[in-house]
This record gives sequence, structure tokens and C-alpha cells, in this order.
Amino acid sequence: MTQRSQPKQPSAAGGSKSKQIKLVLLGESGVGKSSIALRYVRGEFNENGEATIGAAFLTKTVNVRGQSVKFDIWDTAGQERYHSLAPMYYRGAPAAIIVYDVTSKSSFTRAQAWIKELLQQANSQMVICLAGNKADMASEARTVSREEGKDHAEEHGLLFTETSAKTGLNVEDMFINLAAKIVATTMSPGNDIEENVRLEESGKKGGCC
Amino acid sequence: MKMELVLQHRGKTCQYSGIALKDFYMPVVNNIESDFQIEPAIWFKSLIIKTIQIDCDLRNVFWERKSQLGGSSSPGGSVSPRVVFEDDRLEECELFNAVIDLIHKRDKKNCSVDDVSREILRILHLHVLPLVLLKDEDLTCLKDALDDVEHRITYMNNLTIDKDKQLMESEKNLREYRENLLRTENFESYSNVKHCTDKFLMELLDDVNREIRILTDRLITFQSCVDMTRNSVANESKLHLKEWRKKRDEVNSSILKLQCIRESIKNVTTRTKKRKKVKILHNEKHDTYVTLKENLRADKSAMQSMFEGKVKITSVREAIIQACNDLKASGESTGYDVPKCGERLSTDILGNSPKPKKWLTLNERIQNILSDKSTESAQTYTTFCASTVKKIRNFLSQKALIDRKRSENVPFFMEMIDFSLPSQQMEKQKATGNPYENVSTELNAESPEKGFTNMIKEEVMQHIYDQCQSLVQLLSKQKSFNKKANCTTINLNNVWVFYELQLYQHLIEPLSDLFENIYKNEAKEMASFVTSTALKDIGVQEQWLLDDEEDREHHIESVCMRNSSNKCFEKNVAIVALRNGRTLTLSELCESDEELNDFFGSPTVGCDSYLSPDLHQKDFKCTKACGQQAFKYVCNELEHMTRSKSIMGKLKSITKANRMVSECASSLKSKGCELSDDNALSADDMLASTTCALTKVDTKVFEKLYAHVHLVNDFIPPFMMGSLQDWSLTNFFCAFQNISCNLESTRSQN
Repeated sequence: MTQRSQPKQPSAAGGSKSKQIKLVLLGESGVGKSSIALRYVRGEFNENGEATIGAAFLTKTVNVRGQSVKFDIWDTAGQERYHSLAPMYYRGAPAAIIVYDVTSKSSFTRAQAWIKELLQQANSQMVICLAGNKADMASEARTVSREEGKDHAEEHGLLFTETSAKTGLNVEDMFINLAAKIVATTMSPGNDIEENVRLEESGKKGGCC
Repeated sequence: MKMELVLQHRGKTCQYSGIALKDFYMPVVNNIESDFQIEPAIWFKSLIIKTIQIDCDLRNVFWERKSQLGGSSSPGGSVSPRVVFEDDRLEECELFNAVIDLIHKRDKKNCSVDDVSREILRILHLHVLPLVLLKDEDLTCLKDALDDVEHRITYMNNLTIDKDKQLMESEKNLREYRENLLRTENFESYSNVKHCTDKFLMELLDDVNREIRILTDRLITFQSCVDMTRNSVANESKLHLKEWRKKRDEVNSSILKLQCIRESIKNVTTRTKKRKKVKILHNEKHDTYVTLKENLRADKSAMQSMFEGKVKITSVREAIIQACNDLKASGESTGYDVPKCGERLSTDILGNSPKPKKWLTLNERIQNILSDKSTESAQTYTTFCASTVKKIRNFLSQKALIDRKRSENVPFFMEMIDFSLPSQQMEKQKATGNPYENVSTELNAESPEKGFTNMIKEEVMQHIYDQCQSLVQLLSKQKSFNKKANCTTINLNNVWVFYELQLYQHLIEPLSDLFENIYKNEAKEMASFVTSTALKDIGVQEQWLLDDEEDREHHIESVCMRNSSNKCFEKNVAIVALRNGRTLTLSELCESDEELNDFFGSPTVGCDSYLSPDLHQKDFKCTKACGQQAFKYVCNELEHMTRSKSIMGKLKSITKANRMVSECASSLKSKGCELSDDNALSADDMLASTTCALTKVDTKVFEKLYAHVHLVNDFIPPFMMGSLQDWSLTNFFCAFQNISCNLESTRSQN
């Protein structure tokens, strides 16, 4: 099976007037990747409920510093047997959230492996956030300290936060911070990804709309 | 019977009510009609739509059907909104741009209420109504609308007949009145005529002229009768000759009289310069004549409008009938069977309804440019298509030759054609030894096949990009369009979508052949692996998906049976094995609902492609419950994907199939994991379910699908990256890769 090839042309997100950002959620199975996405997009937490349709791909538009940012959130398979397929999912993504469970040491180890892989394989401009989920259970069952997570994130220049998809703790902020960082990065000169052409009747060229 | 339109942009909401198909044939917004004639057929949907909602922020469009009178359309009697489309990266961008422009203009009060109404008409006609997908649940509502239309047609027929009678009566009265006037007054006399009003004289002149034309025709007829009877030798003819001559002479004298009248009227109205000095005498009889004529003209005009209305309403009726037939046959319909944006729709019965330039969509404008051979874009387009098709055909024929030689064990160098990339060529040059040894049947980065496909891909993508750039420039120079709005946004991505549509009309077939050819060995191996291996060995370990393992074993047996006797599955004589042990021909199966249920309950979907549309319809009904059976829907959609004629079409199909997989998986997981704490559908579940769905696809379709997923993966437009479509494609791509990995691992274990 061949790997997916990247198009040569500049990637244009200009179908709409918002900046499209593909964001991948990575992490061990069961750490709460889908729950984080669901909490952020729909404000829901699905405990013992019906299976949710369409939770593996979600979108949400936010406004950051006057710039409309649309997240295309891709949940990824966390099971080890699917690990070889992960590059297909994170390829070309400008943002990733690596999730671990603060009550599971193994999930943190797995998250460290993901960080290593992304730093080696993925886009060097990728904005990565390390998220310790299930923070609501920290008082009873924490096995990964906040400092441990934070230190590891700082070591690799990543954003860090502890979240709870169940209570909604820090979930919104995490996405907003990610969006802000991406906007700050891409709005710097030479990073225009918009391909819109706006022409006024007079023939003068205007800016992107 | 009015429809409502809700527009949303940046938190603002604008509501427009009063959108209707007036008298069942005239699209209006607040009683404002279009300023030119438009084909109303597609507006039949407005008869059943309650609301259309266009959200420019979330970039989606929903519609809601009117609730049925005297019955509920869905449980609880409510009608839920349905999506028209939800993604902004496809061609529908044009719609959102138009809506945002409209809202801006309205806010700035840059346009009149009439202009807003006409723009709404345009938006609905071009961008929304054609895409509203009707489903079988709309059938009853449509039938009600059809009844209303039929009643209206009957009413209009009766009205026309009555009006026609009135018109004939009026014409008769007018003729008698005129004859009386001509008898009682001397219009041959200049001195009499000169005192008549101009209006009366012009009306009279008009009628006299027409009368002369009619009488002249009659004169010619009588003259020919005279000639025929005069040349006849029979004695009776002499009597007839006298009669014919008498009639001819009478007509002739009438013509002469009328000609005199005409000349005297002309002398008064056009040839006399001193007319101003003559005293005009008003005559009541003359005024009555003028009034009668005006009334007659108004009646004729109304009659003409009624006829046009009848034609238009018939067009609406035909569109409804067609939609109903589609719904009965396939369960869904967009109302007509040609792609949108065409100037003429298949339901047009008025002939080609011409659109003014400002109503042309971006797609039509691009089509126009490409069909104008004088433009550089059109020339580049034509040349590129021809050369690419030729390259692919040549490559395939040379590959066929090489394959044949290879099968005959004749050494044959692949270097006869070298389509590898420059980087690969350099590596090749560095390599020493026999190049023939490096040729592999496996498709890999180094293979000539891969080199060729990469080259074609790069050429096509670069061509599209370059062409779109120049098209954007060309389109932005078209003043007639840009004048409409003070500024016009021409989006490169929109142009890409429509240019692609044109390009792949020529390229999709050779590209499909190319990909099917180069991936055929891998695909065959995988298809064989899938049909002969248990689900868990293919990489599906989720218990809720494995619950039908027994069924699947039955499926594998069926496939084995099919492979051993292919003739069983020839058209119309296909034999299907049921779980109860019986075997039936397809025709026998169709006749028995019980057996049919049993059949669709069993996973012998390998023979899906052999089913008649009727059987598919039954399939549709009995698999509505979702779950494993509903995977058959996915199979149908995937088969449709392989037949789709554009990359965007394939992407849409694959997205639809992925959504169906998601729904099936959700249903299955809910049933299978009742006791589990975690039954939210995760990405792991999606991959497993997609893999499972692929195992249910017919072998031939599976092989094609594998190639087509690669094709779409290679040619997906760059701006679609990260989108729902991209995610759906990646799921299927990874599911294939999952199967491939398990095939490799099984192979290595053996």
C-alpha cells in the first residue's frame, strides 16, 4: 500500500473566509480523545449513553484576534494495532493535541512516544498541545503529576494543560490557545494560506476577504 | 402555500416570506416576478417546502418540509429540518458569496426591495432548489402537490375554453359591427373619411388590410376552381363554372371596394399634409368600434398569457411526476436527472429558457470560456486533455505488451518507456547491474507504473492550478458580471471545482483505467484475502462487529460456491443460497417477500450488482432497520463511487458511504455494548467498521474501489485537505491499508 502523497500546489483554505485548521487528536485508546472533542464542539459528555454518530470528525468555528478559525477535528484510532495508520491521519495537520490520562502512567508513556513521533515525522510547523485528561479524577487516582506533564511539554516546546472532558475544565481554553498560536504563526509575513482573489470594479486589487 | 427563506450571517438573521409558485407556475418573491422568463419546473419543490435556511457562518443549508394536511409525516407529526449541504469547500461557495452580498446590500440599502426579491429568486433557482434532495417520505406530500397542480390545470383548461368562446363571440360581433359601418357610411369618399379620428381610422385600416388579405386568398382559391372547371370537358362543369365565376367576381368586387376604402384612409392619415386644418368630428359609433377593438386585444393578450401559463404549469406537473417516479424507483430524487447549473434542465418543456448573462453561474461562465476555442484557456485545455489521454493510452498499451512478454518469459526492458520522475531517473543512472532485475510486479515508489502515475498526477494538478489562475483573471475581467455587484469575489477554489468538472469529463476514464490496471494485482490479492478470511483475521476485533461472524462464514461459503460455478450468477439466472438451506433463482426470490428478507438478512451481498432495480427497492425497504444489513447501503454507495465521473463526485460518494458506516456502527455498537461503560463511537470503531464494510463489498467492486480510492487520494484538490471529505477518504484508505497489513502478516506467518 502506498503512502498518501502530498499535492505540489500550495494548499489553499480559501473556500470560506475563515481559516481552516486540521487538528488531530492523538493518544492511547480510552484516554478521552473523542470526549474532549465532543465536549468542545457539542458541550456534551457521553457517559454510558448512546453511541455517538460522527464524533470522530467534528468542526467548530471560533473567533480569535478578529480572525475566524474553523477547526476540523480529526479523532484518531488509539489502539496499538492501528499505530501504523496514524501518519495518514496527522499528515498535513497544522495542529495536534496529544492526550493522556492523568490516572494512567502507560497513557503518559504512550503520549511521550507520540510527541517523539510527531516531532520527527510531522510538519515542523505543527502546533502541538499535550493534554492530561480526566483531571476531575486526579484527587482520587492521579498517577501522572501535573509537573511531570508540564515539564515534558516545556522540554519539547509544546502547549500544556490538564483537562476534564467530563466537567469541561480547560477544554475550551485549550482550543482557543491553540488557535491563537496558529493564527499568530500563520499571520506572520510569508505565511498566507488564503488564496482568495477579490477584485473591485475599479480594477484595484483588495486584500483577502 | 408560501415558503420562507432564512438567511444568517455574522449572527444576523434575515427572514423573507412570500416566496411562492404563484398559480403553480410563476415563481415570485413578495409578488415580484423575475424580469425575464424562467423555467418554473424546479420550483415544484417550493410547493412542499416550508422553510429554507442558509447559514453563511456555519456554511450549511437546511430545508424543512411542510407538514401534511390530515396526517403526520413523521412520528409526532413534526417534520425535521434536512440538510441540503453542509460543507463550504465544494461548489456551493457561490451561494454563500451571493447571500453575503445580498445581506450587505440590504444593510447598506444599496438596492430596492424588488432587486432583493429578484436576487432571492436567482439564488433559489440556481443554487438551492436544484440541490434539495427528496426522499420517499416526501412522496405523499408530492402527490398532494400533484393533485393541486392537476386541479389547477383542469381549472385553467375550463377557463381557456370559456375565454376562447368569448373571444370568438367578440370577434364575430366586431366583424358584424364593421360590416354595418362600411355599409352605412361611405369610407371610399375622402371628404367623409377626413373628419374621422386617427385612432378609429388606424383601427379600421388594420382590419381592412387583414380583410383584404383574407379575401385575396379566397379569390385565388376561386380563380383556381374557375380554371379547373373551365378546362374540364364534362357538361356539368359548365354550370359549375358559372357559379365559381360568380363567387370570384363577388370577392373581387369586395376587394376592390376595400382597396378603395384603404386608399382613402391612407390618403387621410398618411398622404395629406393639410390634415391638421380639417375639423375632426367625434362619432359615437366610431368610438364604440375602437373600444370593442381594444377589449378584443386585451382578451387576446389574456388568452396568450393563459396558454403560456398552461405550458409552464405542465412543466411543473411533469417535474413532479418525474420526481415521484424517481422516488418510487430509487428512494430519492433531486427532481431532474442532469447536473445543476446547466442552462436547460431535462424538465424544461418550454424549450431552452435563455438566461441573462448576469444569471450565469460560475460553472456556466467557465464552460463558456472553455467552449470558446479562440481563448488561450480553451486551447490549453483541449491540448492538455488530448495529450494526457494519449499518454495514458500509450502507457497502458505498452504495459499490456510488457505484461504479455513477461508472462511468456521473454526479456523485455521497461526502459522502452521511462516515465519515472527526474529524481528516480538519477537514482537509476547511479545504479549498476541489469535494470531488468529491478523491475518488480509490486507497485512501489520505484516502479515505472508509480513513476508514470506520479508524473501524470503532477502534470494534471499543475495544469489545473495554472488554468485556474488564468481563469480567475479572465473571469474577473468580465465586466458584465462584476458590474452586478460593486465588487466580485472570484475564489480560486471555486474555479478549481468547476474547472475540474470539465477536465475530468475527458480524463476520468483513462485515469480510472490506469489506476485499475496498476493496482489490479494488489486489489485481487486483497479481495481474495477478504473473501476467504474471517473478520477477526482481517483486523476486526470488535465483538459488536463480530456478532455476525456466522453470517460471514455463510458469505464466504457463498463466495466459494460462486467461484466454483460462475454461471450461477449470470444475469437473470443467478442462484442465491439462503440461510434456511434453500436455493432460489433471482426471479423466484423476488416473488417471495419471506425469502427475500431471509436473503437480505444473509450476507450474500456479493451478488448485489446482479440485482434488478426492483429488487434494490425491496432491499431498501427491508434494510431500513440499520445494523449489519444496512452495510449493503454502503456497498451500493461505494459501487456508485467507482462509477462517478469526477473526483469531486467520488469524494461526495465516499463521504456519504462513510456517514452510512458511522450510522451503522453506531447502531451496532449501541446494540452490542449495552453493558459497556464506553460505547461512544471512537475513531478505532470507525476504522474497524469501515474495514468490516469493505469485506461486504462485491469482489469486482472491491478491486475497482481499491484503485479508485488511490485515484481520489492522488487527485484530491489541495484545498480539501482536512475536510470532512478528506477524513472520509482517509478512513477508507486506512481501512484498505489495515487489510493490506493483515494480509502481509498472514502471509508472513504462513
